[in-house]
Amino acid sequence: MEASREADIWLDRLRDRLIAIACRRLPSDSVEDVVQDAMRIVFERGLAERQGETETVDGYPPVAWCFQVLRNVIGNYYQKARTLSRETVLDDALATPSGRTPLEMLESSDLARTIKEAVGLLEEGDPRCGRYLRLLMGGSTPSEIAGDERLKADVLYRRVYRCRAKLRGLLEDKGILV
Amino acid sequence: MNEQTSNDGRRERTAAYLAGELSNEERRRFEDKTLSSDDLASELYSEINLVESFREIAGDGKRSRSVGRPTIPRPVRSKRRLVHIAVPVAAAILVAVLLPRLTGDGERGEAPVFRGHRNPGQPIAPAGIIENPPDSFVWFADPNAHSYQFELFDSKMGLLHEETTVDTMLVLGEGSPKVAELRQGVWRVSSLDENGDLLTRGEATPFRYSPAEP
Repeated sequence: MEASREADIWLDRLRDRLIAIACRRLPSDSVEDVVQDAMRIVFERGLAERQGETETVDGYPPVAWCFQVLRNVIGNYYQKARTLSRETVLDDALATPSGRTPLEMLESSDLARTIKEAVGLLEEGDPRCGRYLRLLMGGSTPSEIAGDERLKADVLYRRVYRCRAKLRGLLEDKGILV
Repeated sequence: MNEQTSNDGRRERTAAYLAGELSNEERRRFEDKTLSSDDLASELYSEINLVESFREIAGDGKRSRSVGRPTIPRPVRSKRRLVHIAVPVAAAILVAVLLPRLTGDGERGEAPVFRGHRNPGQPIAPAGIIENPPDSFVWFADPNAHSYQFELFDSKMGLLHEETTVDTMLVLGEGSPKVAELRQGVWRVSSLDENGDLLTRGEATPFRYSPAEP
């Protein structure tokens, strides 16, 4: 009984966080539908009951996996909005509360171009970051780059993380919420 | 300065968390804090979003999305009658036959609704743990629907297949994902009006293929 109550509390907390994330990326009337879909997937996986014991789900830490589920559901939402809606409806549907354009709504070609442009900008001020990110975009894995750079994988991973944080800042300056 | 140090520490922990370098206890603490803070949750989500975007650009682990929307087949009158009579009967039989098999050991009950009451979609089968890979998907008719949009996702809700039909059953054809290889997935049916616009978005229904031991 106690375990069940803990699971319910965990699910409630997760839902609150997913709602907050979704609110910044979706029209308000779609937030609950999208989060509901994500929560059903999480529930069916039984993570809430095994929160302390499950180390990874599909190779990701549990909460990171839950966030990935939300990311995919949001991506599906925007794909659907493009497919189902006509031009005028689409304009309304894609407007976010902040007026910013979420990364999820970009066409894949636009997304690639936008990120590459931002990496180019980043490279001007931080050549090493630019190099790491270009290698990642070219399909190299962090462990391959670490080998080439003669770095431990965890050191490289943290450097790349900082580079991505800088990139996020540049994208947000362009009005793109990541 | 302190804020900078704090941000650096937070980023270090986020990086270590995603890299799987934290101990189980550290991971639990990190997740506990993340679930208590919108800022931390947002930071983690943004990082995951960017990591996945890079993977998609590199063509590694890209999000699978069906492109293009299939045309809606024009129903023939007699076929529509068949749909209205035969399919509900077939669906009822399927419910009677399949439902007992879907309640295997250790299966959780029906997922709770995490928000207000809703009643869309109404999928019938497959759902839960199934012993045979499903070659068809069945759902209840929606009296207001002119057609239905079927979607099949992987376990992380990445879209694998999308198709529009006027029937309440869909058989996966050539070129569709092989459910036996998929092992687990999620499907959803949404009701569309005569213009093909969304009427009701269906519930996402997970299933897991778990072949019985010989």
